Amino acid sequence: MTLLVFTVEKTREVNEVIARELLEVAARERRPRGFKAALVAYGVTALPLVDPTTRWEILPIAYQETPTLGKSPNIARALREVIELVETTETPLAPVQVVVVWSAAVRPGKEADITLKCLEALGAKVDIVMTRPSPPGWIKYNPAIAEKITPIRANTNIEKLYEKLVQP
Amino acid sequence: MARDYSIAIDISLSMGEPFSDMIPSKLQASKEAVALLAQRVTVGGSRIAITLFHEKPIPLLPLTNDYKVILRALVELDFTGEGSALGDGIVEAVKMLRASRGRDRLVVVLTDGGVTEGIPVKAAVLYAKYTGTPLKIIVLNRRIEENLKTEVETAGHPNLQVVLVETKQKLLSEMLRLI
Repeated sequence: MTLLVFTVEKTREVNEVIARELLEVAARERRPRGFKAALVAYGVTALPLVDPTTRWEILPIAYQETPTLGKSPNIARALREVIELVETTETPLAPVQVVVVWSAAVRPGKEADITLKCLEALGAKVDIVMTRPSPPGWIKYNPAIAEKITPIRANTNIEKLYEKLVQP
Repeated sequence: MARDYSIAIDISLSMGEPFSDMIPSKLQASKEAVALLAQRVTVGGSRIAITLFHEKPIPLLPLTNDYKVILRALVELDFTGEGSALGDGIVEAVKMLRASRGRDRLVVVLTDGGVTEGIPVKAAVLYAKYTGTPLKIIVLNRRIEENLKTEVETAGHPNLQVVLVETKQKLLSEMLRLI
């Protein structure tokens, strides 16, 4: 069964409306069928909130209930948490998709690119939803992260974006 | 019925101090309490995992029902450093139970209640709640700090118990109540 890991920033910087809407769409659609879902929240620190489950409806509730995890998002730490979650809950051949919600409020170090590549080496497909309309100038220093980014513009339809990102 | 216990032990500097009849230290009393639990439950096939925490969590022992291994792990452990990341300790202890598929499980935390850093305790308790893991926090102190109490209560975990323990005898009987 494919595992879909939502890795969602919970800081003062992230646009929580977008993050919540994405999780609500996932919970409402319960799609793709036959997928399991998990949720990792991150800020300065990162933690799993929901281990792999078929109870999609708890994703937005768990995110909403979680307190803010500091100001600066540490995307590398979040991806490390995803790697640990995948390694300890899934068999090595289980397909994994990761959807990261990120404010891009601070420039991540090279560690973020390295961790992303590690995650991909495990066979995971990674997409990063950036809650701002265009990438910051410094993103060129993080090429691995940059090529995974989908920016959210004022006219972005979250439902359609979700369908595009998450395909069986 | 065999069960999986994941125990998180606070090893911050304050746990190295004596308290009430917990002499020479709260940590020593905690080690004895865990050893007593292990002695009683491992014979029936129950397993115990141990996590330590101060400013960071340290996974010490994965799930095992080998009483001698548990005892050896406990004998060697000592209080280590400043800082107390209770939230990180809870999260790590819940993670230790990922290998516990289909078994009855429980996370037990032994702490003196100080929280100085790390993952917010509320977020950690939410993780236990959403994984369906019962959680018992045993606080070796005369009172529970108000903000810790609020954080724990607002998580709304239906299977959460916070117990205040002031004597070693009470600590041992709380451990025996876990069986």
